[in-house]
Amino acid sequence: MADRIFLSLACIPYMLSSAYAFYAFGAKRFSRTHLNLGLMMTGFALHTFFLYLRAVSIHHCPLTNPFEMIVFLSWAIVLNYLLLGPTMRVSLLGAFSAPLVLVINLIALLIPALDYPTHYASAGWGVEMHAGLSVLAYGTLGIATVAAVMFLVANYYLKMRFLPPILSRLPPVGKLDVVCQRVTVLGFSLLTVGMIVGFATIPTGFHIIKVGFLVLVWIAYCGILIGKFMAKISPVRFAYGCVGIYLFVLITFWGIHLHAVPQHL
Amino acid sequence: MNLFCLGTDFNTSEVTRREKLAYTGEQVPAVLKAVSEALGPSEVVLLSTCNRTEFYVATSRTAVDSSTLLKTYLKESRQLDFDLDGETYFHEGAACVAHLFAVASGLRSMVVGETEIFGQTKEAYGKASLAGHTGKFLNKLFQFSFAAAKEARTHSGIGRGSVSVASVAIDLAEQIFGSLKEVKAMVLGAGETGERVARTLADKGVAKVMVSNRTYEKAEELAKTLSGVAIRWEEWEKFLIEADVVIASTAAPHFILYQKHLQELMPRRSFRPIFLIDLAIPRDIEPTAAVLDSVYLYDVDDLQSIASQHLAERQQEIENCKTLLKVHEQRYADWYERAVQHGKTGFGNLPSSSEAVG
Repeated sequence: MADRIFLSLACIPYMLSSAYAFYAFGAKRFSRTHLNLGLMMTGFALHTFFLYLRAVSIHHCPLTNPFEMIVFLSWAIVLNYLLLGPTMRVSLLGAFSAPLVLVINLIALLIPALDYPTHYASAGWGVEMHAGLSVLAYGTLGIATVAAVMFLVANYYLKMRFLPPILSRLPPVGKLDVVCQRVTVLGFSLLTVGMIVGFATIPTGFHIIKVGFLVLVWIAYCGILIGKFMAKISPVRFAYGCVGIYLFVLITFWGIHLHAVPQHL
Repeated sequence: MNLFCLGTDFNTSEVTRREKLAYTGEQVPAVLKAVSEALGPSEVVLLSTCNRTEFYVATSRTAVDSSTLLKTYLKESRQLDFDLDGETYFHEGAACVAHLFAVASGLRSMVVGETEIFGQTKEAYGKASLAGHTGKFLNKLFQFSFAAAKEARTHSGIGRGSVSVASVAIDLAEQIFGSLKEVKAMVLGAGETGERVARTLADKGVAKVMVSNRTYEKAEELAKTLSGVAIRWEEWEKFLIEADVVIASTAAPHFILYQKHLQELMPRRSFRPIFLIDLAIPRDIEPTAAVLDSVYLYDVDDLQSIASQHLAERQQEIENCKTLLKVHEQRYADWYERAVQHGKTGFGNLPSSSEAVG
């Protein structure tokens, strides 16, 4: 569809932001976070415009095929970054989020099979809300994963007793652990609400693989959060847990939905 | 108008002689007045720190004549029993400009890239200006030097990274905890370096300092100076759960804190990060404790190595910094030329370079 051009255009600022992040690491300098923020906002505007055009053309929330779902997911990650990054004063989050968003969008664009037309018949507000909340939750959990990666990078350098200039641009490890935990709780809450809405409103014929996937992800996040709150697992293990679960989501998300019947969100 | 600088620093003079040429802040106005009188109509700025004493002069006399007069004044007023020629350096014209810019940027400091000299230079200029001993040549020269130093600091790595054990420890603590306002520190032993680190931490406004030593009276004494609390040696392990930063510098011949202790402690602390600074020789903390999650253990060699690495990085930035300063030196030279032509004073161009020591 012609709207894909705007998603391709959105990839340009995301790519520049990623390139800048890699340059900053290589050059041991990181002073222009406002440049990064500007790039992310430009990408987000184009990304949003793509979703708007798609919604207009299909007359539905753009969550009707795997392509739309993963693009919506990457949009939710950027939205969360823009909302949570400044609030939690983790300005460097954008530099870490950009490559993740870029990869997700490139995968969506480069696999045409994901973007097939569907004869989508709305199953009601509950299903749409379930889908929207779930993808938003994955976006939030994506940001938690980015914070977890930042934590692991900072922790690695501190453990290695090596202080490259980039370390001073990262937030303190203690703060990153707190941010990672809080954002995971937020994402997990959204996932839980989305799941409850889904179970409460989907009338018949839900897809067993999708439900199984959702429950599995929910249990995994629930497990690491309980472990964290009960001080059974350390911040490092929690961060690895966040990264591991989210990688599993990223790897399996599109496949699960590719096999699912479109009507059954 | 001729510009020159006559000075002494840690490279040219030993402290026993340098201290005889040093001036306190209160003495500066009188010295500036006396030098102006000795040299005739001139602009003078005196920069006097623990590492250097320098006179910056703009005068209508020749620089060499003026420096000779200045040396005579110094020798008489300070009653020096040594010859100044071997203890001082003399920079004239463009070399004087380059020297001031390098000084203000911290390139000529004992610890390359340190920032204190910038403030000291500003203060020296402020005093001279206030007392009416500066005119358009030195005003412009110092204003250019501040701009040059700022740019050098911003666009080069000359000031990057801490270069002392105490400041590296503080940087690390901030990298782990962020603000230190809610951090609780524990000092074990009363070693000199440990005390210095603890004092720097206390200056940063940590929430609480606990001090423990085998001799309780010593702990009390140190705790008092740090506005902290003393803990009996038998009890420090009980208070470890509270501490975020532990500075160990005891004279114990064996470890006092083992990996297994910390392994038990960390879940009870909800894996809150703990920063262990082991400054003791032999070491106080079992090195394998570093493998534990949320435990950040640094010994004195680690801190020293980071400080040395930063210092080496600063040294590598000197050339980069000099290139940045060259642009400002040229700008001042251009301004100087225009000022001289405009004033039709006939004193000619800023000498391109003339430098001599002694």
